[in-house]
Amino acid sequence: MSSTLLITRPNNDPGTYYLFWWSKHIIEECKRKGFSLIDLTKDKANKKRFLGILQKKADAKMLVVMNGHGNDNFIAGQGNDPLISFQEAGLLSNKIVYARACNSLNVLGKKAVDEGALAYIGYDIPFTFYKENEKLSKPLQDRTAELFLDPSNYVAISLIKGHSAGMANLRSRVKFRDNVRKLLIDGQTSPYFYTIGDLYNNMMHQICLGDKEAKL
Amino acid sequence: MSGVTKSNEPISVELKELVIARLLSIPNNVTISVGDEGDFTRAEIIERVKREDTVGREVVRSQLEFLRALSTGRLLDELTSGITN
Repeated sequence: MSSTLLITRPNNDPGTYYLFWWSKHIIEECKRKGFSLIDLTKDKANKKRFLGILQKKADAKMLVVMNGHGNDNFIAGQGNDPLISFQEAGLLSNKIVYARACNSLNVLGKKAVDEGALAYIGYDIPFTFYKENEKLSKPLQDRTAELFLDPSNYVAISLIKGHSAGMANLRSRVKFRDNVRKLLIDGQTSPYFYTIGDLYNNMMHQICLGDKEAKL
Repeated sequence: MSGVTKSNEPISVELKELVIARLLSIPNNVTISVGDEGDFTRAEIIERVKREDTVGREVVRSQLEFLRALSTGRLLDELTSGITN
């Protein structure tokens, strides 16, 4: 039986628009590996549909990737409406979760792991990235955003490739580290040098809770 | 939001100046996406730091963490040794 990826991709502002498009690489890897795909885009990224799927697949081990805005207590879907909040954390039982959203590790992530999520990878600070204004209509060609979104994509891509949750987090963080290292070596001659502090913060605050050995 | 933003203590003038000096290196053609707070231009983010609001305090926390890592050698450790979970 093939593994399943449930991914949410709201698209209602420049930030979610970028995550929407950059998640394409995750979906491509999912298709390459023959995963079943449940892709909740735009208006489909709503609480009723998302929680309905989690309830229906309560016993299934699967990968859940959430892109969007968030805070300590919830992650949002389309229109920044809450998709899942800490009161519903138990619905992530049996799941390996990657939340590309702000702060959700602090309460939602901890509670999800306490209530049976196999692993939860997310951030305990705001997920920050930069965008080039000229590339707003072509987000996948934005080399500045790539410094942030390619390493973060790698959490989900590594999990799909079969790595454990801990290893997926590690491999993603190594990609962040390589970007930081290159900028440090290039110094002010790099046109991207100003991003180094935020790359470092995203790397240091991308954390894996739960069973680091958990795999799909 | 976390870190500096959890404190209501005023940010020192020196620290604000240091952070703003770093922010001035951001080109005019980029916007910064600070999580669910939205997107900001360089001028807007500097203004937030001056106002010490939630976004401004998060930017200060972030820059300070990086500068501390740089000055204490933690950054070098991270770059030269294996990253751990």
